[in-house]
Amino acid sequence: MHLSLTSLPHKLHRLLGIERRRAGRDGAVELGQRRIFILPTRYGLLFGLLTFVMLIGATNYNNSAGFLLSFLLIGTALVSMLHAYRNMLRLSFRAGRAGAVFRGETALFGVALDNGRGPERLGIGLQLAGQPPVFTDVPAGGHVAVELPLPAARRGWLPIGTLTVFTRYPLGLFRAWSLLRLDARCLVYPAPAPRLEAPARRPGAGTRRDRRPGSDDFMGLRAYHRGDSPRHVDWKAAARRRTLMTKVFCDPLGEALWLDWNDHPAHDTETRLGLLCRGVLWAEEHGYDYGLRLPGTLIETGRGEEHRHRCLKALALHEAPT
Amino acid sequence: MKHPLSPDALPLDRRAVDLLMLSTGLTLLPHLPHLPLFIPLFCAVFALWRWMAAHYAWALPGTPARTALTLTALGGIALVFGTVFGRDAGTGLLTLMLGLKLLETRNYRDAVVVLFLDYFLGIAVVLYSQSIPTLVYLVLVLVVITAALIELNQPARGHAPLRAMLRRAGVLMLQAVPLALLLFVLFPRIPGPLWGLPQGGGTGGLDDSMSPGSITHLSRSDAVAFRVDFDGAVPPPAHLLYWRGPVLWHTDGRNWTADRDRTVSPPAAGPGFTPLDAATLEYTVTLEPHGRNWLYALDLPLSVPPGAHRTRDLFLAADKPVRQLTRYTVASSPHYRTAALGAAERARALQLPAANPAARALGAQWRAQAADDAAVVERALDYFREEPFHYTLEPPPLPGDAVDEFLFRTRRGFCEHYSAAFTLLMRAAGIPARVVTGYQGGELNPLGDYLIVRQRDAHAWSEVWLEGRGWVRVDPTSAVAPQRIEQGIDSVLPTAQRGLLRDFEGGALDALWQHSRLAWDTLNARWNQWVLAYGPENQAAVLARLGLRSWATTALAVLAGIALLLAALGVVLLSRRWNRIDPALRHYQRFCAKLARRGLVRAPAEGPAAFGARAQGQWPERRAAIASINELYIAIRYGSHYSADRIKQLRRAVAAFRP
Repeated sequence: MHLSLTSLPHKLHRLLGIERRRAGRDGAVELGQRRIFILPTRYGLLFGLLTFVMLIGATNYNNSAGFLLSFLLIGTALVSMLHAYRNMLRLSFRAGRAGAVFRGETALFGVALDNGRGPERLGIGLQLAGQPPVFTDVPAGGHVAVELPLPAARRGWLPIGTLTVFTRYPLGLFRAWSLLRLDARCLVYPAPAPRLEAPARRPGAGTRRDRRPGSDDFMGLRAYHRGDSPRHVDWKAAARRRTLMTKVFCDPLGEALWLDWNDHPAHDTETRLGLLCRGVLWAEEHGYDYGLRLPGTLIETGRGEEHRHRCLKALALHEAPT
Repeated sequence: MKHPLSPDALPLDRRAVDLLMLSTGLTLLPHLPHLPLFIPLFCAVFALWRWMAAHYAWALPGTPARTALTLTALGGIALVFGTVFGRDAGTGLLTLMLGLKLLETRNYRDAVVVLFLDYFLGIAVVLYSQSIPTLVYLVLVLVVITAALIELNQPARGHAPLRAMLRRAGVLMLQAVPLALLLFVLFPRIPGPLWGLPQGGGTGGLDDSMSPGSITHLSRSDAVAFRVDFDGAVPPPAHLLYWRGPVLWHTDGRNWTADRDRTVSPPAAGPGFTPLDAATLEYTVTLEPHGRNWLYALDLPLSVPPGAHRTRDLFLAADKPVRQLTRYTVASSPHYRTAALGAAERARALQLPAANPAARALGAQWRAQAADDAAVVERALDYFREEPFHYTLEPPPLPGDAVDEFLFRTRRGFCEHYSAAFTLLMRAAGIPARVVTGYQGGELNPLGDYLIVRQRDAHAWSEVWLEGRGWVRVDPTSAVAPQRIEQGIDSVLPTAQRGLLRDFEGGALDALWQHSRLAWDTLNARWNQWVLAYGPENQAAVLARLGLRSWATTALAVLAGIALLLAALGVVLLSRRWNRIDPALRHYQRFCAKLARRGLVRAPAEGPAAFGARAQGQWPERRAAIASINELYIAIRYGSHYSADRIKQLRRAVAAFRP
């Protein structure tokens, strides 16, 4: 049985042309009566078969007590449908802020479930497309926040996508669900390159003066040029790579550091962004003032958490796919 | 099959495993008496293994081991029962499967299957007993199973107390009761059985043969044979309460047997007797299953309930053996004259074995001395009356010629001894005679206004055929122990052999005991009448009364009823409880409403303290009352003083407040 009931809702929605609702102006979505769908689970179907067999048995033995108890179970199953529905009704959802992550990390979307004045909700499942569900309870008249992990596979804005909220409470025989499109997105920075790579020396580049290689902080390696001090040649790397590499040092007391798109002409876009990203992290960590120069974007030098975010955001959204 | 993103693969925690064990244990408990010992033993080992795995990280068996266990179990069932179908083998098989499933239970899906099996096996208990205590127990078991199911479906929850889970399950099932009752009454019943001949369904009670001691044996049983509701409050006098069962024709001098053909084949035409007057007794019998096909009715049944017929021996027989509680209404005519005796029947009624020469000689002697048949009958009854015969539940054994031994040596016997001896004597005197078995008397339950007939009321009497009168009932036991007939079997039994715990003769405790015993029997009688005996026939009558005459309208009524009940429950669940707000807030709002009527309206953002101050300013003379309401409300709602007591205080204060 490959057509599992889990995938059925999506197909059904498409079939019925039901548009997934967007969040209201305040970003909260309340589950109204017409947004909640309910269908038996496969356990519900199995339960139906089970009670049918019970009724056949009761008929065969003309057993009134058997009928009575079978009907009690059938009635309980029907009542549980109402409870599953009630468990969802008028529960409201609001997406919170998702902190930025680097590509390859997992974004955590905060979702707040608000009960209003409703009764206790139990076993509410929240599931993002392709992710395992996260379960939570909501106390009576209270609210609760959950974090939904979503892997960040690409830089740029990562939308939360369609959120399926569902419950199988109380008996697992029925599944009530609703599909929500909340207003939430997460900024995904480029994945930082594994190592810092010093800018290639470009003769005549006017910006070179801004970065004066000093001798205090190791900044990275670059290809050896004639005239580099033999003291700065990375001999171990030379042994490994069979080419000479020069260690570049920076002076923290020196002037501001410029991270430039054109520093790494040999690489493709993503690698360049990764290198610049690593540069931003390095500079921030080592207390440099730094600026960022991208085609069409210029961020003046600065330092600090906010500045770092501005730079990384610019990198994240540079010719962003979305 | 296993979807990694599906919650079905959620592993079970210890608590869930414990709940599964509890549900399964409680389910299997009532099955223990009728399961072969190896099955519960297997299950216990499997359950213990699973429990150790949950609590002490024991390894669970792999697929080859489980396959081997399954095959062994199946083989065991087939070996013990000879089949894997039918009630007993089916129950055994399901029990073993449940044990095996328990052993391989790892995740949500497995656990649900275990609980479903629990539901099924739990309900299967009714195939063995449908008594009220069994049903009460089973409903409790269903609540426990449902609680376990609820536990599985709230995966976020930590360990909610078991009591809370049980309460949730109980509420759920309580809400289902109206639906269950609706379905019970209206859901179309089809007459069973659908396959094979169901096993079980009662044994015990009268047989269609009799030998010395066979009815004595029944007299030790307190079990109910049937209950009778009479039309008209007063039951007939005791000497009319002869509940007719199988008629025995053939004897070898010790044992009496029925003519099997005659019990099943209906008479050629007509009732076989004519009522002498218009007097009839109308009553409804609720017969406990006894596994034979006869139905008990008073001498002699005028009407025949559906699905039954009147045999040539004038007792009622159902078309099928009575394997479930059966309820039927009969009208009997107490005064009657039976039709003429055919030659073949006369020969059968005079059949005499070679045994018991002394008794036969006595019969022949009476014949020679008496003027007519009636005089012989009188002579015989006088004989029992005047000679030192004793009515006893502990008759001595009768070796050899049983009747001779009884008549001339032991002279101690129970009803079967007297009727057998009397009938033999009559035949020896040339009077056609036969033995009738059944029940005599019964206990009136004044609480329910019905008669309880128990196994110990089993009785045997005789019928003789007299010219001009037809078959006439003669009860030789009444000659020896008249109080047996007039006051019932209890009057002649020694104290120890009467009903259980009846030694408290006469005291208040005895009265209490009698009362509760009768109350309990009334409850059982109503249960039998309204629930257990509700089958296709009764349902047809109920549906007709409701005006549901076709399947289509009935189906429509069932669906409409379900929809209506669900809608009603939905309204209650989704609206009333929805708006259930804090009682403290409700009382405070009433307080605000009272002030608003006097013109002081609380502003939307005004806190209770500010509003209270404003109210105190407007009504200085009510300052104290307003302050106390405010304090209470603030303490309850914002402080840590939430208690039912304080809420009551607040309610009273608000109610008493008059601005």
